[in-house]
Amino acid sequence: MLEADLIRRARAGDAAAYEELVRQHQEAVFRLAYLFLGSAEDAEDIAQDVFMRAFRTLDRFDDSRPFRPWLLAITANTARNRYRAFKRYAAVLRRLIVPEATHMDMDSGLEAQALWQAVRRLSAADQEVIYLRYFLQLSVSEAAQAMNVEEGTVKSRLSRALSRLRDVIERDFPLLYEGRTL
Amino acid sequence: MNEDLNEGLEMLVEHTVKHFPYPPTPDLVAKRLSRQQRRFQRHSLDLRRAAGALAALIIVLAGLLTVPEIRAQVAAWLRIGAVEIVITTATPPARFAPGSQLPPSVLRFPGATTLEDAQAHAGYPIPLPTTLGAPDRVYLIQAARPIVVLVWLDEHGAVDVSLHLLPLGTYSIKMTDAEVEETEVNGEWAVWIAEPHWYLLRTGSGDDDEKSRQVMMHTLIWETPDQMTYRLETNRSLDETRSIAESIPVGNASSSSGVLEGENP
Repeated sequence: MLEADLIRRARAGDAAAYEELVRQHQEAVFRLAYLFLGSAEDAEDIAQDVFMRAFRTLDRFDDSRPFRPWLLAITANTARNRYRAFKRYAAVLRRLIVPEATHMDMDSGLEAQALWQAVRRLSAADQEVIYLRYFLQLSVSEAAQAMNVEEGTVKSRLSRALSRLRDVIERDFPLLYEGRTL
Repeated sequence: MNEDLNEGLEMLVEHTVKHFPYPPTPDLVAKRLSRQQRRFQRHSLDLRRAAGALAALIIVLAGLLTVPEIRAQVAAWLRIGAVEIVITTATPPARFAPGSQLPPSVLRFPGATTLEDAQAHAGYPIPLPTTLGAPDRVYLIQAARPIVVLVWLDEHGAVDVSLHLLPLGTYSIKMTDAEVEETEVNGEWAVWIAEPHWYLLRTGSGDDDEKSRQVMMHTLIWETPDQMTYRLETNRSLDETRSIAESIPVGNASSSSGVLEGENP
């Protein structure tokens, strides 16, 4: 069934249709929340919140646009708020000190983890554009919709975020550059 | 030059993130039932699991808060509607946050007004508990969205009950080392804090736009399906308090607010 049909049925109160939408998008929502928060349990909480809020406001969704960027906009907003609350009480510090177990091979996984730690040193706005564009592999157009900005703005924000990321990597994660020409 | 450098970094990022070790995505559809109760339990479990690490880790808040000697252990964290609750293993400090303080007594709150004026300016309906009737005092506090506080007095003129209406978009934090008890209001998940605790209300978007307050009464907190969060402060028992809470008509209090614009920026 097409996404637009699912949305239409969900708006009419069809729970099964909304569940199908959740299944289709839960991975992207969960992953973006995880990137912001660094905790699978908190990411799951956020993801549940996002789908609950999305369901409540489904009537206001413009179904001429793709659903995923809209969901990811809610996700980023919700996760940033949660991140601020954590930060305020230094709970993030605990997570950085006691990182969670990973689930993939360590060589490539470790490199990606190091890159993620570098990204996490950036501002929330820089993190958002990098997560959407690279980690979740959204197109520039989709990222623009998720961030509610023009495509040109996505490109300029990406450029600035990458410049700042390069500074962080050179200073704190030089091994990421080993064997690479940058 | 800078673009060339970024291009190289872009390639590195694109290549590297393909191997990012995400945790397995949970099946949200299967897990959605009893979600809030499970969330509370999970935080408790998480606390036990992390106890070894936490016990040794005194979290220093000095870098984040203005009072340098403030140190606290965060034991658990949960959210109910517009209220974040941080449970600490140490007594919260006398002053834990930047910004000014609200007086402990609601009778000295700013924004004293009438019920009619509050109805006109709150931007959402103000339902009254049928067990209490019209309030003796009404306050309208300016925050991201107006917060309404209704107060009922006892025969001596002291506060018997105060009801705080927190619409979607407002944000506050409670900090306590007391036990936080789970309960229900009209079948919705609610929490009951029987001990004095600290409360921090965000009244704007800046770090200084926060007001802290020591709450001396018991507090019942719950969220209604229309995304309105209620805090009810009183010295009455939990059963009595819940009866008051359940006598509040559940309306369409904040339906005009959207998820995106309702969130804190």
